[in-house]
Amino acid sequence: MLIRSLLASAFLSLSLPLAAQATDPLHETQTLPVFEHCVHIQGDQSEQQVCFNRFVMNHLINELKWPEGLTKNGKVLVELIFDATGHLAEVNSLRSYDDLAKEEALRAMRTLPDPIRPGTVDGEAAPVSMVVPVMFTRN
Amino acid sequence: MIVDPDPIEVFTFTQVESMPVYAGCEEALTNDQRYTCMNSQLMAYVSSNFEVTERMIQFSRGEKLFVEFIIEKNGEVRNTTIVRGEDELIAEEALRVEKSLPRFTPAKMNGKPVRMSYILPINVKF
Repeated sequence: MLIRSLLASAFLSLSLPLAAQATDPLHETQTLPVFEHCVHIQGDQSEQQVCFNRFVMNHLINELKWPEGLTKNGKVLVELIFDATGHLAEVNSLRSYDDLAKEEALRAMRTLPDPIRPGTVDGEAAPVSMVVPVMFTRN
Repeated sequence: MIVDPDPIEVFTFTQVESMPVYAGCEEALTNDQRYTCMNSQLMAYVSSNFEVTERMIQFSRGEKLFVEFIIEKNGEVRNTTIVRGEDELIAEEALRVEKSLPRFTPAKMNGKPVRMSYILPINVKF
């Protein structure tokens, strides 16, 4: 049950566009980068998002290992920044509870394949960032 | 007396068996549907409730911030924290908006309500 107990969860969502000025009622339309695994999805952005979440989550489940010496369960919040070409440009830890867990979470994230299409803002390729909680749980 | 065996355990959305339901998303039956409905409803809620003040426009440059909150077993939103975000004025308003969120139907495990955390990105631009 180790795999199941190493539940890594991807928790991603689109950034919220906020129109700051009443004179500019247009909200930006943002899309996520597209992994090859999700390229077949033609539907709306929410389906793409579900596919993106699942892909990252499955990747983590396969890739994450319980670090030797880690004794506590906990959560590491990892920030992913994809640049405008779709490349995973930055992987940062925003919150952690243990250095071993943090390093493992970052390592696993860095092995993500690059998406084949970048995220977009209003139809133009643009950088996209998100926060993914990575859980380390073992009974 | 019934003692809660693990009163502080918090799950994330991929762990729970049943996703929380945002008020207005009762038609959404599957977890995927609940998730996407919640997402778009949260977006709409923040968009219409986040107030950009004169002071913010004057002193802030705008940023994308990430706010984490916990949906408690009774559906209330608690423990709102800034995960990423430098600007105090924007953070203050983002937290105010999160705290004012309507009550959810909580996430469930084995049919019982559990605490679940959620991270919401907010993109503030002027």
